[in-house]
Amino acid sequence: MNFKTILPLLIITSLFLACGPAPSGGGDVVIPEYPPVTAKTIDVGDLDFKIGILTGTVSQGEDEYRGAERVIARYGTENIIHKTYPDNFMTEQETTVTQLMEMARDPEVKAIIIAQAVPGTLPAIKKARRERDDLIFILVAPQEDPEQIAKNADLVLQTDDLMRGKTIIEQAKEMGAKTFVHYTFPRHMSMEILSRRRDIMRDLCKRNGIEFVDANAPDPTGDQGIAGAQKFILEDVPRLITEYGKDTAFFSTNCAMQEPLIRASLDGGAIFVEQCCPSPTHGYPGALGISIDEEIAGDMAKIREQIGKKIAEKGQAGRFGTWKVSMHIVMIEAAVELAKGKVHGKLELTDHAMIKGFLEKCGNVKVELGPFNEHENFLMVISENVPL
Amino acid sequence: MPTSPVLELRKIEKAYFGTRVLKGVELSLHAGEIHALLGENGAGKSTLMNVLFGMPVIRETGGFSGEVLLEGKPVSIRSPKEAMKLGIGMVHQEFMLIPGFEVHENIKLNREPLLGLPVRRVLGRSLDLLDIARMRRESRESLARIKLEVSERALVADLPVGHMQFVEIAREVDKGDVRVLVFDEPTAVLTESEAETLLGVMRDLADRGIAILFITHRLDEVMSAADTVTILRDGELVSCSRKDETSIPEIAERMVGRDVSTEARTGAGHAPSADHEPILIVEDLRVEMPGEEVRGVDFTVEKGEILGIGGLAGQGKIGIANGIMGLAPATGRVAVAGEELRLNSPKDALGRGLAFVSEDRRGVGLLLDESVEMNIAIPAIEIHGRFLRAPFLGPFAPVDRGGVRRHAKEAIADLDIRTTGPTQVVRRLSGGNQQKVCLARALVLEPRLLLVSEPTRGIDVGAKELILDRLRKLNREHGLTILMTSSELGELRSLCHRVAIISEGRIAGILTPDDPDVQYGLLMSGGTL
Amino acid sequence: MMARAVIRLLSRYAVPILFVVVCTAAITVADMNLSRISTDVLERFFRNLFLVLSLVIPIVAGLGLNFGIVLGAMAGQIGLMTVQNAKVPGLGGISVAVICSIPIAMLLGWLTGLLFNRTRGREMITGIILGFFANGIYQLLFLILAGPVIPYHAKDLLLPQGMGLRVTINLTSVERGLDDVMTIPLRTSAVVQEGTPGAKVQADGSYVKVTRWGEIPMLTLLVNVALCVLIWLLFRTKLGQDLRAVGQDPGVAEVAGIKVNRCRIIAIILSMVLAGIGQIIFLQNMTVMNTFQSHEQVGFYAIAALLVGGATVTRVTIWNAIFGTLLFHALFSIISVAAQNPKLLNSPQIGEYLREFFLYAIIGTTLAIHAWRSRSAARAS
Repeated sequence: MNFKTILPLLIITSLFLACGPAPSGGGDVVIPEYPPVTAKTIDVGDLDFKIGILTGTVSQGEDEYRGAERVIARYGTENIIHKTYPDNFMTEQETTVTQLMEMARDPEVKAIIIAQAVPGTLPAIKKARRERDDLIFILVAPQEDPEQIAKNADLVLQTDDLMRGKTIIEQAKEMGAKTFVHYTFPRHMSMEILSRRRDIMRDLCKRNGIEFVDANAPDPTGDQGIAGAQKFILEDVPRLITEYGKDTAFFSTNCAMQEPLIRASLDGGAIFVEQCCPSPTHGYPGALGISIDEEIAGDMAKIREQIGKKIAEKGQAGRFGTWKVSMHIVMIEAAVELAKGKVHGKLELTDHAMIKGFLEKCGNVKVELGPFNEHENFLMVISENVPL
Repeated sequence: MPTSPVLELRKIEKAYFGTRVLKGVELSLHAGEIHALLGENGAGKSTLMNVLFGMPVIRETGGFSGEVLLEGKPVSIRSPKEAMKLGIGMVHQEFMLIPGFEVHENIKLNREPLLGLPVRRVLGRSLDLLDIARMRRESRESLARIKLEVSERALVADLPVGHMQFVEIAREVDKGDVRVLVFDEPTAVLTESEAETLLGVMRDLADRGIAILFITHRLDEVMSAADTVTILRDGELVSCSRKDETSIPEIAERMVGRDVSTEARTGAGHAPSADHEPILIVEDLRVEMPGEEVRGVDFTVEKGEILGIGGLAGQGKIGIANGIMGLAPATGRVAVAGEELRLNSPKDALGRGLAFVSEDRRGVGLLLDESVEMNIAIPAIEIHGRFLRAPFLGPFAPVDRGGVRRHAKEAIADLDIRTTGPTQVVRRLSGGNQQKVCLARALVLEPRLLLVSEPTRGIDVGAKELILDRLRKLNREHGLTILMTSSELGELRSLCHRVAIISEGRIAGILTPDDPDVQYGLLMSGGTL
Repeated sequence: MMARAVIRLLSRYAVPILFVVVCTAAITVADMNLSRISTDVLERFFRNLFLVLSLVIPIVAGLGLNFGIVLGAMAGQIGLMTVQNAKVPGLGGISVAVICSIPIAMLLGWLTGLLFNRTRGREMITGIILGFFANGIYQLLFLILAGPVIPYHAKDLLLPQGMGLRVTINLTSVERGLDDVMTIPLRTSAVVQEGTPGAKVQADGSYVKVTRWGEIPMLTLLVNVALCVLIWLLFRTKLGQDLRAVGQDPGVAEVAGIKVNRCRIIAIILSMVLAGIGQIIFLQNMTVMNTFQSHEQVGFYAIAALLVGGATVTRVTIWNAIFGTLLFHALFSIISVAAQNPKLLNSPQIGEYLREFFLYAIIGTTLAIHAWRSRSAARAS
């Protein structure tokens, strides 16, 4: 046995390990349970300092940018500084850091909200804190390691992806799904929350007699790019519908894949419970050709109505769903209020009752929330899914 | 001359994939001797040198058989570095110089003196620092030995070609213990005065005891510089004689193996078409070609004649044809068969029936990475739409491969192009055969006026004759008008009806071949008759 | 005469002048805060310089722009992972990370060199493809084998499933291990009015505002200077001379007896090792490592910075690296912030699009200027 024989064997073995059954969850597939919380709000006062909001552009996601705009509409540009991180945030992390540092170095800025907290957020926060220990950071939808984020941010809000593992499958069953296809790729599966959710979904499917398909799609930040990933979805979905039938519910963890997935599911007569980010504006308008013009921008009910019409046209009413509101927009608006409260010393950012109160107030919707991994400042928020 | 030779090559046999290229060649070289090695293209000279110098290509293609003896002892030379260590140096035809390095860096390439710092014991010789002061000093000495007045700090890329050649020599000389020095066509790129200096330097080196092997095909150089002459033909040793025992005609004959008269003037005096109809009228032609500027020439070429353009190098004769063909910026008026030719437009020139065999065959004349047959056919395809077949879809018409192949085979036979076949890549052919392909390319256009520039440069005697003969035939038998530029007066006088001499960018005068030599001499040196 | 001299001066320094003009315009129009710019640019400069310098040697050796430094960066990251897993702190941790990365980088460099020798003339595209391929293997290693096979067990590294590394690793152990050894802050203070934001009251009742212009991490600076000196020294050694010869004309070098293939491999190995160290320096300043993406950022920006500094595929000097890094990152920093400034544009996302367009337009123009200059220099000679 010399090197020449061992090396190929090693490679093949590890390839088998890679192609083999996906790693199961850390032993137990536990769906979290939260202690009940009663919503509460107080008067947090006026905005007499500056708040920085860092979001993506609308090519990344409609919601967060619009959320910031709504806040500006309410408070004006004097006190709200809105910046965007680069579209290419994975490769241009240094720029994200620069943008955030620019806000952090303004002595009048006391709180910074980052939505979505893409990679680059954590180094930026650490650098900012090095120069200013009085800054408050509220993060929405973090994409970096949750443990580290919890340790370094003041408050983290995320749609409860773990709980959604349960609610999506339950909703899928209600919509008549016999198979559930979960599209993802290794980079996302290295994110703790996402991979645990998949395990939860798999487990629940088994218990509910639904066949779970763990499907692999290309990573849009890899060499195939977004276009390659989208093309894959458009080609693969019909294939799976043929294999498993029309009562197949599709799901993907990646934003770029939502539009082609919705499109292909609709055309193929399949089921689609929720997007990766369950807001009415995510994926649906683009996939169905609905333009968000002045009239309906920001009005979630109207947007849902339009989407519902298009889906009904294809005779698929009731087999597609989303959340009542855009949770990210609500989180941003609530974050501004919470920041005011904290800076004015009127509340603590671990007061779950307050957080729930402001979320429900800003979004005019019911939410449930609870801590992630026992971090009191990292809250998973879940709201209602409505069929379209 | 001492009796025991410094270098002996005995019964050297080499085959490349079955083709025997060297068939039992023998050579001996004595210290202090200048030994000329002659042969046509393809006779085996370069291969013999590759064997001697241990070039990897020999080993990679099956090695060779025979013996190489250095001062009586057999040696095995497996790499250029080993050859160097044994005291064998080579001044290549294609410079082995690094253009971005300074002269002294080239002279000392891979033999740089080092400072001998303690770091070498730890990290090895490679990380020892260069002793730049010593590099420069020793290079200066070597340059002085061959009387080259160039700063050792000059960048080789900035040097004129002739100086580069000398830097090559300085490099070999710098390898102090050189015993045998091989010069491969050293004067090919030199001006006349530089060539003279070179031959003088060779003599100096020989007088200091170095044995010199000197590959050339310029017979006059052989007669002036060499002590001994070895002639190879088709891989075999034909003869080895002392210079005073032979003569130019004898050497030429032995090289080629057929009766060659370098002074043939067959039918040179025949007049062209009796009506003296001009086919090309040139008025006040000025051409900006660096090194060969034309400063206003007027002449006429009559239909059916061969007009020669001669003169010393750099005086402008090369610029004329290039200017007419649009390869160098030109102004003036040129009329072809009565119609005005648009200058600075090669397409127009080709379209009007002018064809050009350039003096820069590698740069302008050939598509080096294409096959012989495509090189010949492409001009015809482009200009005349020949060699195309149905469906004739305009620019998408497919090429008539059969026709191309046939024509190529004819041309190969006609011009005796030595090649492995019509599909061989032109880059692989020897210079002479490349030139023949250039000629075939020009002829495929069936031009009414053929411009030929330095047709026999870099070509051995046999091929020379063949090309000149072909040109002569084209003119006499097919009435092709030829405008021929050449630096070899003998060739012009043997072929042309009239010879124009260019000096200082202008026509100094037009002579006939029979005019006395002294007139030629006067015109060329800038005087008047 | 004067006019001609001025024009000559302008064209010789065209690129720096262009940058200065653009940056000044941006700063003025967007009314930017100079001290914040200065801080950011200084930080970026010291963070990135080493990586850019690691590209120098392969260019001299005729291998073009080494897009394969992605592999060197991976080696550096493996070193950091190991150190963070074992929680080795500070400068010691950095040193251990470097020592760990070197043999890995050497192996990867050797394999890359072998590959490049087989793809002569196409090294750059080979490097790009190699980067993708290596990324796949890297993901395989650290998503599957980390945990069960590769003994990283620290909780902040390993996913709770017990297999696979987390997507971000917070380098708490070695963060700023090199930078913080000694930092010299650049500060000015000025007496200001009471109530000016950021003003602090002094003992004598006056208000003083301290402006921070950035800081210089001394050891990082020293390390970079040392690298410049070493590179300069390298090219005065026999090996360096051989590399230069190989880079200029491998045919001639071969005939002169220089082992061309060996030299090329050595050049790549050196580049990879330096890239590994460069990535360690980069990440210890960022303080957070993107396990699966940090190395991908490496090639493009380092190469762009080098080219902006005037290097070409065949010619490079150490000053190209230094100026390029400075200009490139200054431009990036300034334009990024200026474009988002509400005084310039009312929409931050238009600012983002404008930023992207502007940035790459400037980089493209720079490359064009360099190309035009070298062409006219060639024509003049």
